[in-house]
Amino acid sequence: MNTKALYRKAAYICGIVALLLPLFLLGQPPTVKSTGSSAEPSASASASSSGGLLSQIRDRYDIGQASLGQLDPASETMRLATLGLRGVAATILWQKSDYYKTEKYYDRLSATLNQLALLQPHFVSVWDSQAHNLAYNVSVEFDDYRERYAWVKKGIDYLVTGTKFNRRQPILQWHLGKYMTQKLGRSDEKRQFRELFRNDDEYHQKLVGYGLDVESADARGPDRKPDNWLVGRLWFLKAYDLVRAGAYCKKNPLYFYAENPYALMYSAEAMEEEGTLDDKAMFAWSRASNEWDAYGALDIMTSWGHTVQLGKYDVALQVAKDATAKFDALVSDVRKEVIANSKDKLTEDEFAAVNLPPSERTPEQQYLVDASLYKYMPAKTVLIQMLPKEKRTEALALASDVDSKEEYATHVGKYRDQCNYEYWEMRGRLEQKPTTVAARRQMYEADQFLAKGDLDKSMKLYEAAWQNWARVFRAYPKMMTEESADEVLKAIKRYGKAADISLEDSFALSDFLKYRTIRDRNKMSEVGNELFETMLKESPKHKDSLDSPYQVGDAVPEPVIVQLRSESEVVGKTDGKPKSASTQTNETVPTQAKASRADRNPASNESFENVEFVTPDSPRAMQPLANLAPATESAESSESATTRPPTLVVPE
Amino acid sequence: MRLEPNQFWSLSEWLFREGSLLYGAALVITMAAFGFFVCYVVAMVRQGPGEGFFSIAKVIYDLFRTDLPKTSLSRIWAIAKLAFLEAIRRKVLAVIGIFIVGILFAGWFLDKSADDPAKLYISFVLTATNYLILLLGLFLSAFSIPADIKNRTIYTIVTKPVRPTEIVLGRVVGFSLIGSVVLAVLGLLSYVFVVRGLNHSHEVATIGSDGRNGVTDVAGAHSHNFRLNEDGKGVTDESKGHQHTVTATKVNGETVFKVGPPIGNLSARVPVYGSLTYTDRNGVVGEGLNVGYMSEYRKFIAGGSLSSAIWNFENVNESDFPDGLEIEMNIEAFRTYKGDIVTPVRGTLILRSPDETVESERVSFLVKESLDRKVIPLKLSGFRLNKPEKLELFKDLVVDGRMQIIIRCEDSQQYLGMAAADLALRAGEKSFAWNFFKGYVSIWLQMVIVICFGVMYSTFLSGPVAMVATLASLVLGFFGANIDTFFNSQYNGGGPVEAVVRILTQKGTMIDLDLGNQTLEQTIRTIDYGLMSGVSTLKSAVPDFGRLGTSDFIAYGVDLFDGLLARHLLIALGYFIMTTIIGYFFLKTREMAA
Repeated sequence: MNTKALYRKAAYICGIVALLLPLFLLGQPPTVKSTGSSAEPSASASASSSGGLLSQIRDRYDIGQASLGQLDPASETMRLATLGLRGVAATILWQKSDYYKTEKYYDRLSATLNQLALLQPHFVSVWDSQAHNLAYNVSVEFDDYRERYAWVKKGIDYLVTGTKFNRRQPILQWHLGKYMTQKLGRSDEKRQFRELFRNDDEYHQKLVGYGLDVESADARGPDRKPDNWLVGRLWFLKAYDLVRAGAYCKKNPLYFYAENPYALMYSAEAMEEEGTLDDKAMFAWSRASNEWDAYGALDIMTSWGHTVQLGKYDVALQVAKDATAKFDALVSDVRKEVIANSKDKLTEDEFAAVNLPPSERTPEQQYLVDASLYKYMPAKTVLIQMLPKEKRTEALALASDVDSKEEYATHVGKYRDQCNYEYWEMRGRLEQKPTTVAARRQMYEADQFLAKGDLDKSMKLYEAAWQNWARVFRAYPKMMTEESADEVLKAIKRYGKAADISLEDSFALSDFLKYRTIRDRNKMSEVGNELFETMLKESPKHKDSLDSPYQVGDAVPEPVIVQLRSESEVVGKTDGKPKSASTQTNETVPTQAKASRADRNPASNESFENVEFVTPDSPRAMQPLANLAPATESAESSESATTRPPTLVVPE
Repeated sequence: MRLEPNQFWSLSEWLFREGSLLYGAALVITMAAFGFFVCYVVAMVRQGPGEGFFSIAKVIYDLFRTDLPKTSLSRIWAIAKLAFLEAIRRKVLAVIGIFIVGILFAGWFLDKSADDPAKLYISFVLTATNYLILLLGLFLSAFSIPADIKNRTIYTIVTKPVRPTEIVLGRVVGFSLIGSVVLAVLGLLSYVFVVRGLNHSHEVATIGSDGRNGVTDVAGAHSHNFRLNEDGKGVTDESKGHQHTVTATKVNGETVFKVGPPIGNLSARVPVYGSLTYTDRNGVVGEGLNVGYMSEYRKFIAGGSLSSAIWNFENVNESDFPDGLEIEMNIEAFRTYKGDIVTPVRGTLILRSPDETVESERVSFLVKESLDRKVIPLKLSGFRLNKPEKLELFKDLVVDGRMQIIIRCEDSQQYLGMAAADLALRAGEKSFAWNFFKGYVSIWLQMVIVICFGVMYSTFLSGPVAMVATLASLVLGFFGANIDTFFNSQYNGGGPVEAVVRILTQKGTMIDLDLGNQTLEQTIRTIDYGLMSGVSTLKSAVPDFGRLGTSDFIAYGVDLFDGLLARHLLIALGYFIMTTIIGYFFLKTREMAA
């Protein structure tokens, strides 16, 4: 019996040892043996052990506790205390937090989230989503904006703690920047939030403790106090530093890097809204514009596997145009032949429409052009097949080059659209001009005087502001549809009401008012298009006027009124033939769409001989007819839109 | 603080109006009948129908004839002392050590920057003590008798003239005693922890040019603004649920400011609650509105209309309000449009006599969404039958202790939300320490219930099984509400069997089970229904520990109603009697078997 028991025990011990060995090989921790002298650290390092398999894997992928982030005794204690039931404990805490949120026990929610994060300190989503929960979802549940502000700060504090546990996760810093900029600076309560933030000395000290230099000039607004946009920007810069140091961030780089210049732009905008309308504003916009240009020069990785530089769209278009020209030169004879043959295939109306320059076509004619495209515009492959054999290889290579260059330009354009690159580029250039700042300042001060009841000063300032805004809109017509323009419209209304006058054609902003009246009817007409395009065409020569603002007391310049063809030639002749009734009444191609077609197409020409190069299988040619078809409109209203120039009214 | 209206009821209201006495009596009869039936079935199988009935009848007869009347308090005490010593030998006092370690590190987890840290601190110590002491009761009670039976030391007891009732009662008393000692120590430590943890002091950081307005420095993640009166004394504003006194004295020609300790963070307000009804936009009594929140606790009234919340009070005594009627309210605002962000939503408050003929002038207020206090003077202006008149509060508006308070929302398209407990009359204040003690009495009652269950299970189950059974009772008691929700099919995904099938077939809870076999699906659902019914029935036999918890009262600074505590005491007594009788029967039959 005793021998049996002994054998059994020996077998148990052997079994235990056998199990321990692989455990040891797997789980041995890394060690550093101090065999060398302290003066020779390399010798010590060489004597260290890299540990077991698990440890080596952790090292290889940089996911060891110490490399992920700070080691917190409280967190470790909690994790050990759950005795392997961390998942269960975390689930219960998630449920509890959800319950507390639903039943509005917000203090308990906050406490539960702290416990939860200690249990799962390296689970980025916990920090991310729960910080968002506090800063966005919980904060809005309070009626008092001060309470809301306090909860936004709680969300930020929570996420800051998350960054300590996950120091190689730039997305957390990036979100911190978003909370501090967007949540505090774009909410309905932005005025109150920003005011609270700039005077929150206690919190500024806390932010210094978080490693943000909120006392630096980079983070201060015009009143020398920390500005939420500029402080938030420091978080973005921290995130960028991390990425540069090799940390991975799954955020699309287009959006990831856009936040830095956005923060500067919005900071400048907020500064102006709050009444700082002087050199400081110009400097802020100039700085923002420079950052935007730097953003445009960044190599942004796209989902197509290549990089794009948003600021080099013109270059991409030119490269595509050059490639197209090379191909066109090679196939021009063949194309002429095809087009000549195609004349017979076109109807009389189609022929007339195709023969018109694109800017002079009516929407109906444009529709005819698009619909008959296949009759006169052969695809590249057709043209290549018609070439002599010895030229085909070269043509094929050139065609392929054209396709890739055009595709690249399209990609750049698409990425630019996603971040509204063109708008911000224009805004940055425009807002730093003395005229723009003067226009805003005069309008702001006029509003102040009007509120005080000083009508005389208010009117003078308004009138000066209109002169400056007129210069701005003439130099940058696209601004006429932006938010700033809406503010101008409102101010014109206030002006009109206070002065009790009706606006005449000689009003400095008459073109702007005409354009907005047409546009805000939710449809564009020939007059609107023409007005916009004429202003756009003439805009370069007005750019210089932005450097010398109009001041109160200056001589009133002669109003610059755009002379419209449709105002003088209401007959409606285009190619010598009278317009049909439908042509005269249906005018609805949006200006933006038309302008963008002209801008975007790498090779658009105006004559029939050199019509824009669009192949039948290109997206342009495949555009649904419905998009090109004119919208119906009552004869009465369309008549007023096309034949009668709008009177000067301020659109609602 | 969340309170359901039934928690306001006094003991007599609970016993008679809610019908708890009748319910209790019915439960006793049902349990007795069920117990007798089960025991008879077991005895019948063992001994045949006649002999079985006889043995059961004999046990019952013995209980009432000899064991119960002749139960000796001195023998119970002797066994209790043994149980006490046994528990000491089993090193239960180590729990105190665990608790000390717990509160030493608690500071790491408790957020001092919370809006009201007192709530967090008190909730923490009460919850931690509650769990620890229940676990202690569980481990103490479940292993004792089985260990005695296993070691055969029980024979040295049963061979003495000791009755089974005495063994059961002795154990319960003994374990309750040691539990009480541990609980008392934990309570004392908790009290010190809370008081010391929340105590802090401020210095005056800045003082205005007038020497009267100032700001304190930051301590405990907050600071206070204050304004001194002409006599150099003042009180700070409320921050983190408390205030401080500030006094300015001249010392050697220089003004020295002294900020006192925190006031108001450890309180025990005595509230008088009323029942709440709502009226709709046309003033017709209705349900109150849901503005889209998942929580149904608060209902909302529409602004700029006749929609109102009406509280009916019944115990408004003049002696409780010598300086005016102090009203405490915590009303929630819900906006359908942002409007003026800076100005809070406006409400009005009206006092009305129960016959609705006399009402006070409107008292306007801005919604704070936190505890807001209004004091209504004893003499006030108002209307009798719509004619202006000077009123006396306790003569004209309060009739036989009854009165109404009406809240309306003034801003059109905005809403105010409230529950019955969101408006109360503050009838003085009691000592926080006494309230804290009552909170611990409540925990003590829960501990006694757990010990009773543990001892009961240990009379017929082995130690570990008895422990698991007691633990199961605890879990059922704490998560009873979830089980009800489960049973009422309010959760998607079915019962346990269906859940297993769903896991194996990787089907989420939101899609149909669809196994392609209707019979199989029906069978699964039937089995689940049977299992869930069983669990639900079991659940109704164990105490609802969730409802026995009273930590919110202490944490939110509300005096724990004596009626509620008495109710819990009665519930605990009921379970004590039930478990003792069941324990007696098992021990008696086990003894017979031995």
